[in-house]
Amino acid sequence: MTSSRATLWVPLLLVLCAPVAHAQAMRRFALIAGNDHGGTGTRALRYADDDAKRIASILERLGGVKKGDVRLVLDGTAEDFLRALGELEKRALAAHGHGERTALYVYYSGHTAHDALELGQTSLPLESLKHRLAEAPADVRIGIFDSCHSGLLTRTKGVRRAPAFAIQSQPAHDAKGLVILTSSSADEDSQESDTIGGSYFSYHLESGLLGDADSSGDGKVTLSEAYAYAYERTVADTADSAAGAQHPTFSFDLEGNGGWVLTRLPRHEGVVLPAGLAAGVYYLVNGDGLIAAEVWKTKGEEKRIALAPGDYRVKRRMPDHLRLGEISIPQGGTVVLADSMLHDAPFSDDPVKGLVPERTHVHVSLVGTFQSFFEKYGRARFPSVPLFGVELQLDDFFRRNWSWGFDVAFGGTHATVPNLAVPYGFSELTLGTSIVARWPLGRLVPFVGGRVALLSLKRSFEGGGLPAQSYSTFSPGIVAGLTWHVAGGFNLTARGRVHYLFYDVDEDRSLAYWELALMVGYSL
Amino acid sequence: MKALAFVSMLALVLAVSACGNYSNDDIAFLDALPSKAQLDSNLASAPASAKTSGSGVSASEAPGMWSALAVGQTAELATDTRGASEAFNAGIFLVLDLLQQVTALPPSERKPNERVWGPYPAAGHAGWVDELVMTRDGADFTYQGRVRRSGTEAWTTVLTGAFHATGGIRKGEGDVHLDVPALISSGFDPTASADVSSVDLSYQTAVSPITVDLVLAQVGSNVPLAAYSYEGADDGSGGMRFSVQIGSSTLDVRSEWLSSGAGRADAEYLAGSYVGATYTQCWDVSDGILYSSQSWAPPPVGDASNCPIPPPQ
Repeated sequence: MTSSRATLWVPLLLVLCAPVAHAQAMRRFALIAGNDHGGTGTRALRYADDDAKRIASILERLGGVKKGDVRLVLDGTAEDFLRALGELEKRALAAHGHGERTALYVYYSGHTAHDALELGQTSLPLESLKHRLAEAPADVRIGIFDSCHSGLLTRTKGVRRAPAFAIQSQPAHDAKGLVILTSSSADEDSQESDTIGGSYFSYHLESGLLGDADSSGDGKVTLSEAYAYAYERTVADTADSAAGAQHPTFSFDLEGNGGWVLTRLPRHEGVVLPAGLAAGVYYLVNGDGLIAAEVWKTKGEEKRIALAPGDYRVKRRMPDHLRLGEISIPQGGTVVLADSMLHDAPFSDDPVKGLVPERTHVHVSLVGTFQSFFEKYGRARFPSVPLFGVELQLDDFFRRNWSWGFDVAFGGTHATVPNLAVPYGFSELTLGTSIVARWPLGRLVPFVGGRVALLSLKRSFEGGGLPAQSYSTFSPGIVAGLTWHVAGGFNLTARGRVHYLFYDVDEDRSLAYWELALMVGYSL
Repeated sequence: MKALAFVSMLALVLAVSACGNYSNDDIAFLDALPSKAQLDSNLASAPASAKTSGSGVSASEAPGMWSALAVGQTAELATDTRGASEAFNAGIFLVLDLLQQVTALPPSERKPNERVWGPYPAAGHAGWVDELVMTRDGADFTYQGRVRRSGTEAWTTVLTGAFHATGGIRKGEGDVHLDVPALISSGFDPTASADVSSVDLSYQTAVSPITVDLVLAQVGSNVPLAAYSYEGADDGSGGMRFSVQIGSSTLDVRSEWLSSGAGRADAEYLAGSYVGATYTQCWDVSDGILYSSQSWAPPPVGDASNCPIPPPQ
């Protein structure tokens, strides 16, 4: 069934497969995919993988999807995605063979461009994906896509920016068909937020699935309830953003009516915001400082949020202060939030962290360096020398596109003390740490930053019984270079450094040296 | 937390202040001091295969008492030469010991044309400190070694020296003077010989063979207690001229040797009852006689053409 383009409100007929009305069991399968990286020229996302992991967790815990029926594909390729889909299709067929009804969820968070999902350096055309979902051997297929321009998936289906679809209160019938939800329309970006540690659409979808979308209060969150909730919150949160408002879309091709239940809220585990609790927006913050659920409570309304057992901080934002509290949800237990559990606190005590922990990327490199002092005075004491070493680099450790590096190098040469014709063997050991800012331009990444190094310089004289000499000092410097991400995790880097060194033995002198290096690196 | 970890690490690095003794000028000063290894005689001590059989009569006996020698017996002049070489080396050590002890440590004071080592505890002399002060004027260096008791102010200069550098490791010309009476009178080394007024070392290391003169001056006399003139080549060959007092007689010995240890010595009595008597011996690598000739007891033993070194000009 397709809708007219001109129609804004289209009733969605869904049938809930009620266990009482129908003896057939329902088997649910879920392909959950997240990929922070798109094709060449795209900027890496930060939370696509995290969005996927959270959705997978909710569907396993509350959505009736067995662990073995979930395929979680993180940072995979199109081939990985289709392979996982194929495995679930086989399992669905087998379930059919056992007389089970089946439902297939496909969730994707990541890049979309040029009418295709961009999974790393591979792509999956939307048309072929739509066709695949339409033909998948499951009774109900629900696709949820959180990515820029994901509304391309629903474009040909008609309704785009619909905030909700009506629920028919008719006896449940077996549902059959395809539903697609997208985080934005075909011409809109989908946005992420450091504050919530995820993308807006998926974040609100998660809160809704945990219970805040249960507008009927029956302990079940239906597809329509979840979509309506996520639509409203996403539009509200992105209305004033630089990228502009983001409007989720949906499309359907489903027979039957009723509300398809996405999650069932356990009555005996989670947190309850009772009817008597003050109305407002409550944030439930986990131990990492991320918002686990956002709850919009109205006056006299009870909300049940199916958070996983654990410790949470509760935040309610008032005009000029915060109301904070702490709860601990036991295994199989329920916490009833009371106003007496909250205390006034200044904004500075906000438990939600602005700097969200990054997922750090680790690189190791082999380095060949040539070092020389600028001045003759320096070279007369410390000869020009080749150094070889290794480096460890942590990308996005402090913040996005900043790298923290550690390096160690060793080298040596032979030289002669000027004017004395005294030969000696020279060796140098350096230990350094650096912080650089990077500007990814596709495969090329220029960088610039600072470094502090500890130098240990030694020399021993060949013959003559002269004592060995050494000098150790720290040396600050600046560094700049260019990295080329070749393929398969390998990269090449050309780098230059200029360092300051204070020498105070023969006399107090400020010296400077330069280094040029070539590096072969690999991303772990 | 991450920023704090980084700052803490950075602070730790910064806390490591520059330190070391890496100095070209130190090398220039140290290069002006002689080293024992450089000036020592390169003649090894007695070879293991040296024969000691034979008449047992050595050159220290008067000519009239010498009996016949045979080819292969231990050459007495070889033994004397080795003994002189050991005595020479002991004299070098006596003069240079203080220098080497002090300069084993980094200088305690550095100025553009001056270095000071010490005061440092004097090794082997509990309760004493020593110090070396060197000054530089272009390629010329002078130095003083001095000692004092710990806790006192008065220094006693026991050693002075000078060096002119010509380039290369310790290449140049120099001399060192050790004041033995000062060692004794100050109390630093009361066991030093009271018969020795000074030990003087003069050397040239600019070209090969190096030459070293060591003289132990005698208290109250112009005649030295011992005098050695050594020259040593890079290939291990060398020569030594030394005098031996035998009663009232003075035997002047000129020895030369190859790197193998084979050599010859030509001796002459310069004073005493046997003045003018000459004695020549050539020996092999085991100090065995190849040729021996005494002016007072012909005929010679062996064949002169077997001498590894021709007679001196």
